Amino acid sequence: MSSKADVWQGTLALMVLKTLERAGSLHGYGIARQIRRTSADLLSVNYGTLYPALLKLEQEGFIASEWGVSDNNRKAKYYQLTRVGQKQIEKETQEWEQMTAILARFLNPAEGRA
Amino acid sequence: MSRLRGWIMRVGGLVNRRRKDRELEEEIESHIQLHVDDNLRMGMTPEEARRRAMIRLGGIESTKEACRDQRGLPVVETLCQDIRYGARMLWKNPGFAAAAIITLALGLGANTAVFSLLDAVIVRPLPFRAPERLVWISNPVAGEGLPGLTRRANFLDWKESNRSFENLGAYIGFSDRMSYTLSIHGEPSRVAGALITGGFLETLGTMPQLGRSFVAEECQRNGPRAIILTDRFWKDRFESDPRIVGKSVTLNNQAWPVVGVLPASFDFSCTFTPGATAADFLHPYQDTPRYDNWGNMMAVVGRLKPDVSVAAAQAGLDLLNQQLQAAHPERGRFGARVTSLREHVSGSFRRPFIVLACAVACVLLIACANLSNLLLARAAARRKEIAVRVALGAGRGRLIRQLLTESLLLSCSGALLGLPIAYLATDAVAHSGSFNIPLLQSARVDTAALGFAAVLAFAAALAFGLAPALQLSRASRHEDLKGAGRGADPARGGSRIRQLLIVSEVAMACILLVGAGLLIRSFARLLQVDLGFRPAQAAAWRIVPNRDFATRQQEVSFYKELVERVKSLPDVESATLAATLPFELNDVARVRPVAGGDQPSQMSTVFLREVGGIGYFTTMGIRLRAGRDFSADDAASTPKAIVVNETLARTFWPGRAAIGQLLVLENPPDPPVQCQVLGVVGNVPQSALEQAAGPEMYMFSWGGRELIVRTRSTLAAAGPAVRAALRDFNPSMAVDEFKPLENVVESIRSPKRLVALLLGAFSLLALLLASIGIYGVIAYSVSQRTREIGIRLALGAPRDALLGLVIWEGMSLTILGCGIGLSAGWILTRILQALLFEVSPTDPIAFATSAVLLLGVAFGACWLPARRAAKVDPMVALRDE
Repeated sequence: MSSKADVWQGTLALMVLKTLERAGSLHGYGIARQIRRTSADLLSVNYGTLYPALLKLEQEGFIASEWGVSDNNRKAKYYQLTRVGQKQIEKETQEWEQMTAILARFLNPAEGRA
Repeated sequence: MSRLRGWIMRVGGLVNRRRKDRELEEEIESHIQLHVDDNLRMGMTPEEARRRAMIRLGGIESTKEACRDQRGLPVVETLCQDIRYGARMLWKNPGFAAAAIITLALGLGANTAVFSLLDAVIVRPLPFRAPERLVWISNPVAGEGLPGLTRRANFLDWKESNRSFENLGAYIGFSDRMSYTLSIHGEPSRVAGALITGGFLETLGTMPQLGRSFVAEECQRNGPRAIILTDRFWKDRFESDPRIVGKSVTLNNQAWPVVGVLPASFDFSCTFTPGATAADFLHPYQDTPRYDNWGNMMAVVGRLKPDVSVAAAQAGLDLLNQQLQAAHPERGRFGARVTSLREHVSGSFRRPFIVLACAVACVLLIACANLSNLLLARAAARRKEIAVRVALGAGRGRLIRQLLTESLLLSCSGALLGLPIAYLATDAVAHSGSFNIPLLQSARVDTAALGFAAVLAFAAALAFGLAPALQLSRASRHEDLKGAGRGADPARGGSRIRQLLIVSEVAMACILLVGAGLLIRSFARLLQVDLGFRPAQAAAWRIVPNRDFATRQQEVSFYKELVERVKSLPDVESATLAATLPFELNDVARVRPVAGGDQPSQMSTVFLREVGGIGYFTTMGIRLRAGRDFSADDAASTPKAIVVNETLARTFWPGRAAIGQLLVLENPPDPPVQCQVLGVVGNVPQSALEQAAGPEMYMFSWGGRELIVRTRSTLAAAGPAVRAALRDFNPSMAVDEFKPLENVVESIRSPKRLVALLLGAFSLLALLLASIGIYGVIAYSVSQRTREIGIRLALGAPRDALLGLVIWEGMSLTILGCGIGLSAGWILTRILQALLFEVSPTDPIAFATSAVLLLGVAFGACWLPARRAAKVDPMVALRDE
């Protein structure tokens, strides 16, 4: 559980950004639900951990927020990707790809040598 | 970039927290609502839907907490929390807080003040360009009590032929003797100037803040007049007139154009001639070969070339002097001693100031030890509180941080309260004007001192807070929570530290007392030194005729009449004139006794004092040992009539009567003057009271700058009458306030007095703090042992024995501390050796007095709680538990 949570913290930012990139504008609960669905329920941690991450992304200028109204007439805070956030996605995606490629070579040594 | 932005936003998150909290609450509430809506759609019951949503969120409060941590800076927020909590704790114990803060304020204030003084006098670089390359070149031949001045010809030759210096400059050592009357709108006032050579300011590398330095033609004979004002004079007398340069001021009825104003950082007198009349302006020494007759008159400073050491410059000048001496035998003996200018200006004050700094640091350490003790005692009372906080999940690091924050709160409050103390004390010492110490006037609590105070406050908080914090943070035992641990075993832990602290406090206080005792005894010896004259009821007025005399005859009758006028006042016992007052810059003369037999007589340098009126010795209260005082006829007698002091009589004519003996005064190129001794007077020390008087001769000629008056009534009563008489006699003459001769003596004693005074004050403070410390520890121990005492009494222990028991508990610590202090003092006081006069650094009286004083005060501090212990009612004490 704890190791899962660590991964969650490290990758959450990118997941949030990617989710917003796809969905455009979304409230906190919507982002959480989307991440759960996309990960096919594999990452089953508390939704509460999402909010500090959102706050951090907003402080760093990757996302912006404003209050709005949901489909079923609930007042909610909607998050949106910024231009800086868009660039950050590209940067982080690249980093992740590199990282996974390197890890893959360790995990499948035969392929790596080939 | 975005990380930096993140941090800025987090700092921003510290403000407007309430609104952001509300927003966060709404957001989380909306999250739950949305989730509940979803769950309802999936067919859950409303209760189940809400329960699931809450579980999935993972707790509303912990989510909010995590967001708050991310929003602001948790470190800052907990710090604010700790400060608020600490302030509440202190507020609840106002007695403790007040005692702690006042102790710290005294300790930190005194340290900051001493730092400011030390910084000004011995640390801060001299206010010149590259001051480390500046040196003082003195002429060491003239002997003790002389300022080491150099004659014109030597100065010029040095300047011309040396290879070590970029530049040499000088001021005229006797500038102080020249007085000027400044007239502003016809109102005369006496001012003082200093004569400097061209190149003096350039050598120092200090340039006027307004206008310019002197130019070459102003430094030549009959060159144009020019003066440079000191910053203080410019501000006081000319209202900081920004257009002063180019204007003229009236000095001695002549117009002097102002060419510049010195920077505020350079006060000539404060640096070079502390204690003397402060120079208000500088004016150029206008060079002419005639000044060769003036003898040694130049105080020389030099700027070394970049890579030349003091030793190399010394060697170079030594070589040059050898050549000069061979080429010019008529210049007599001379030499050059090169020392750094810093050393010359305040080198002799380094040791006393460092001693003071150590002493005041000791006082702060004692204060810290006391506070540490108080906190340790409080720690016992707070065990339960801490145990509760540990039970609620406070970590050890968090607890220590909280407790240290409380200490820091104390020490910062102490520092804040101490700063005004430091300001006042520094200002009082720097501007009292009664301490004859260079650069002292420039002392003030500046940013460096504020920084020092801040660092010191932090260090003090750690010093007194760390041990109690560590001690207390360990107190997380179960029984503390239950309250059973309350003072059950005083011997445990803290008590050992407390005893150790008391012993070191007592030891430090003991060392300080011994040191102060030695210096005070030394100062007392200084007070007993025979001055050779009676300063009480005598005063001096500076006389500046402010007019030209056509003939010497006129001048003589002016002075004669002036003295007669003053003498005729009813309050005046006697009056006379003299060129200088005792301890001022001394003149010297080169003389040789006319040999009675065939032995060749040797040239010696003796002090020369010019007496300007009849009755000098009576007025000064100098004892006449043999022969007679000057009479009116002696002014023009041949051979010249002189009076000598006992040292001169004994040196020149040992075992013989000095009266009637002849000596020859040589002052080339003037012809030698033959002098005959008509009287012998008691010695008057010429420079420092610590030094025995050198040989001295008195010559008489009418005139002089100082009118010395001995009064029948008090000076305060007679002063205005004398002043009125002088005004009446010559209205155009500026008449100062008089200077009591007692002040003259006081100013020569003042550096020693300052050190003895401060060290005495510090040691008393240390004694007070140490005794409070002893009292606190013993009183605490008694309150902890009330039950034990009750049992002892109930079992029949005599009350006297109990009294003794408690007193012994404190006295054993005191005796141990005292023993350590005395032994350490025995070694440490050696560094005081150079500051002591006629007192040995291991003076038994100082040591014994300190020990007795300390033990006596400590006994008192133990006796008070002991008496309380002895009065314990066994029934009450036993029921108490």
